[in-house]
Amino acid sequence: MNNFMKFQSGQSLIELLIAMSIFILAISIISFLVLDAYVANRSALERTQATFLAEEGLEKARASRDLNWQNLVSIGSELIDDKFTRIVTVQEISPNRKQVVSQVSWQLVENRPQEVNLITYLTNWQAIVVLNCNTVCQNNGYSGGSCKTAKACKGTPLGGLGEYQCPSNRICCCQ
Amino acid sequence: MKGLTLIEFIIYIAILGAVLVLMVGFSWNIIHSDIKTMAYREAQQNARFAMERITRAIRAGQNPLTVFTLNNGIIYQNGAALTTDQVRATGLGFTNINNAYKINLSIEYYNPDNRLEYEASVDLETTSMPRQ
Repeated sequence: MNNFMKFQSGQSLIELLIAMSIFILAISIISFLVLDAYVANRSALERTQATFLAEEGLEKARASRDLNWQNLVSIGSELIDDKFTRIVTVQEISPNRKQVVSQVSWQLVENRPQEVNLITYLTNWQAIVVLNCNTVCQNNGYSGGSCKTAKACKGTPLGGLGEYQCPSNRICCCQ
Repeated sequence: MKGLTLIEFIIYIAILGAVLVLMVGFSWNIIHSDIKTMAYREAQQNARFAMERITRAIRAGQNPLTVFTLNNGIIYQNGAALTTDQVRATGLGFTNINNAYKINLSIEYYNPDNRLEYEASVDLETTSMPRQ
């Protein structure tokens, strides 16, 4: 009987410890989830704000394209609302094509940097592009082309006489 | 050894009471943060939708100053409401830069009793210009 009593009281102490640790574990998991849900919500809000700010950067680039193609250059970092940093980077792909990257970065909490990148390609559609016969043929899926007289053309003629930088008596003949 | 002594009973009640107080406080916290999350989400969705409609209208070449009106905290596009009555728009501003418009929009959850758990506001800013 005495031994049995000792056994009983020992077991209930361990039970208490186990119960408490399970309780603490459950509480910490739940509080972590609640906190995380809140942070995720804030992160979503800031991402929305940042996306609109990044779009603003692209709009600026578009405005420069329409006003003066030469003025479409990178914009250094701007601090918005003391929180978001926007950098618009312009890279020339070809004389009439530029890649624009609008990057907005911010700190969600300290040492948790976030960023939104929007990339677009802008074309100088106002530029007067002179199409020559070879390029036109390549744009249409042929390997190339040259200006020939209508009789000499064994391939597919594109356009009429004198078009695509051909002399007035030649047509553009694609191979 | 049979039955509970008074001391044991008091300790039992004290522990139970402490655990219950903790649990109730904890549940309140969860419920409040759930309400706050809901309020934030509502404000956010409204702000994003309204902002999207405004930028599209400007891209399509419409004049936002005549198309969008703010009346009693509700934003209207040509008379049709863009935001729900669960939120109030506290600011809608258009700044004309060349032919583009800078848009500032502030939306908060409708909270007439100023209760802390329902407080949620969203500020958005962007610029849009007509496509040529």
